[in-house]
Amino acid sequence: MLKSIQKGKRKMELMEKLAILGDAAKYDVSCSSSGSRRKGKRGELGNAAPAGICHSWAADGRCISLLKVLQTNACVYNCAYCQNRRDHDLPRASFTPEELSDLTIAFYRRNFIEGLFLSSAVHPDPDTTMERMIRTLDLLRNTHHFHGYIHIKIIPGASPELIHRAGLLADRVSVNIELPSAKSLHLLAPQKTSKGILAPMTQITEGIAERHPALPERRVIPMRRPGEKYVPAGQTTQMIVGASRENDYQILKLSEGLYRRFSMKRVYFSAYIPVVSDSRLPAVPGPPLLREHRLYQGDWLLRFYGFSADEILDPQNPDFDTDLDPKCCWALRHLDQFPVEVNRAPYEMLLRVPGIGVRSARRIITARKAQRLTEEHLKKLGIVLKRARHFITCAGTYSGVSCDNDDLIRRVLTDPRLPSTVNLRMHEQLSLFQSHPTLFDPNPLSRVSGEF
Amino acid sequence: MAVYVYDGEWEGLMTALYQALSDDTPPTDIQPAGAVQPTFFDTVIHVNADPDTVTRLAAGIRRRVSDMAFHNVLYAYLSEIEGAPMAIYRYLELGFEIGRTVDRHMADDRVLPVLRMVDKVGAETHRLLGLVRFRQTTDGIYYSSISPDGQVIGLIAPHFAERMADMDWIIHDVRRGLAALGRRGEWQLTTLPYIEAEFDEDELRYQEAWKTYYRQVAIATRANPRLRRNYMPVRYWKHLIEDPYRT
Repeated sequence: MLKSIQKGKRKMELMEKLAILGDAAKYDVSCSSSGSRRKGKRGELGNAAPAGICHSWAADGRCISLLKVLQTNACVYNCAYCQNRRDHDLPRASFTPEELSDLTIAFYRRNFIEGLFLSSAVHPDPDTTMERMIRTLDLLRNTHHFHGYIHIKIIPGASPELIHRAGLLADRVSVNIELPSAKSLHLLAPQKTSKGILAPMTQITEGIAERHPALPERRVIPMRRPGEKYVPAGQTTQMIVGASRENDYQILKLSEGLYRRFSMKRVYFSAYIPVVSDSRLPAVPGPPLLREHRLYQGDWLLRFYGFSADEILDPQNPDFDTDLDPKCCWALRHLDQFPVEVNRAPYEMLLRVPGIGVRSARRIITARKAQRLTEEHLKKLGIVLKRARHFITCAGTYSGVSCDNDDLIRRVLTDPRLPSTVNLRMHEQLSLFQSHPTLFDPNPLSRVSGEF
Repeated sequence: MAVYVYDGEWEGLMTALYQALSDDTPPTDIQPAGAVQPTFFDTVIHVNADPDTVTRLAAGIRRRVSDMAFHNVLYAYLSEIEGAPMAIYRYLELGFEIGRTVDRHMADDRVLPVLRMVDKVGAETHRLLGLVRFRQTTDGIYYSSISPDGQVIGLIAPHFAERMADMDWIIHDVRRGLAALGRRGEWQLTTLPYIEAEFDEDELRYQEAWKTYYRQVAIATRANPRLRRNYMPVRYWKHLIEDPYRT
């Protein structure tokens, strides 16, 4: 009887810790469980699927794949934007490595999660913090024989030996770049330095590169035993957007640099959410979600569509358009390259057509081997023509509004009162509007006629 | 005009397809027994599943069309979408005519319906890998109930057999009365109309812990219930442990 009561009490405490340390970790963006293949072992628990698996979706629509918690939310740092900052008055808690590894296993067995995303506030110093996190991972891998997914956050300032050990136990590691410039970092997180952030990133990049001895410029002495995995799912990072003054062009250039220099798997953006007040922070009504969305669209163009940052934005146009997606804006600036014929255009060019994504482009490439594709065929293939129609011809037929008037296309795409398809051919519109100017005047289409 | 009626099982369908494809005149329909009644003018042909015929047709599809085509036929059958048997018939008819390039004809009405069914089954399979929820019974067995649109239980079971290789588990399709039983890395499919399970306090505490975690992980200023429903349709919610209805 007494035993069961004590047991109940212990679990209660664990529940409180989970509430506090889960809440403290939720502003971390990444929850991805992709990029790693770990085979299950007979009689042991867990494996990892390269595509990643989402286990639930929270009320904000974000996927829950990993148990995302902090080892502790007690912090010696006092970063302006962070809810766990030293001066913030909130309940503090810590998981022991035993508690957290047990909880992870219990959740994993019930198929709540793909694995663990472990981050931490810094207490009392980076090495001690990192050691406790590694102890948690070590229990999972070597005591529980757990082969599921683990993402660990590197604490800047931790020793290279600890970082290396973390990389051997985890599938993915990340170092937060926190803010888009060293200047902002100095202003808002004065206890962190860009050097302290870039050093572990570099170490991890070089550690991963050991897997590719064939590359001549990456001759590094192997530090691993054969068969040992080091960060198999690669490295990621994240930065807060909207807490400092950088424009979208600077942020996109920084992402591009991070992909190139550190071979990042992902650069995550997190729309700044005011959780603590500080005079150094901007007053915002809510998180800049549209801006975050546009940055991700730009990020996708860099990673999957063969664009460079300078094609998407430039110092003269340093911010994303609020009305149209970045690819559409690019296409409107380059109408000389359109329309493209879907039956002939190479894959790379199809990817540059607004509204055509990787899946649609692949479908077109496959389907056009069998037959000459018309607009009807594209619709059947599930390709959305709302934007694409202005930039393509299907078997010679063009059904957009204009091949050379970017303003007209922009209006058709952004004005909800205009029909998404304009059936009239251009010269017909022209003559129609010219002969009946007053008839069409209050009608939104008349604003289109002003273009001619 | 012939209507082929089979027992609703894979072997029955394959036998019916073989017979229909061997006939010179195309069938009016191919139906599982108990589905819509044929009209007065149709000749009803009741098909008895024949293992040799199944093997012969399967080999024929793989050899003369492609392995992918066989995969597509199986998935379309598992979708249990009404009209799947006739869609498969038309797909195979074209497949045997033109061979391995059949799947390039994605926009063709003989191919597109089958590919849609295949996509649907694939998507549901992947979704369920995440949405299955086990509860540990007092016997130490991890039990999960599901009621998917398609018959995907045999497609998800291998994943859990590999992953939960140190556990005994049951995934129970309560809609179809089917269950996958997993034991230490092996699994088998069986019929299971009903099962009674008991859970102890420890189990309920872990369920509470998960509910707590689920609630707090959402960022209130980013609330977006529609996005959640897009990713996780409401029909899957009743088997979850977390409670999206209340959060």
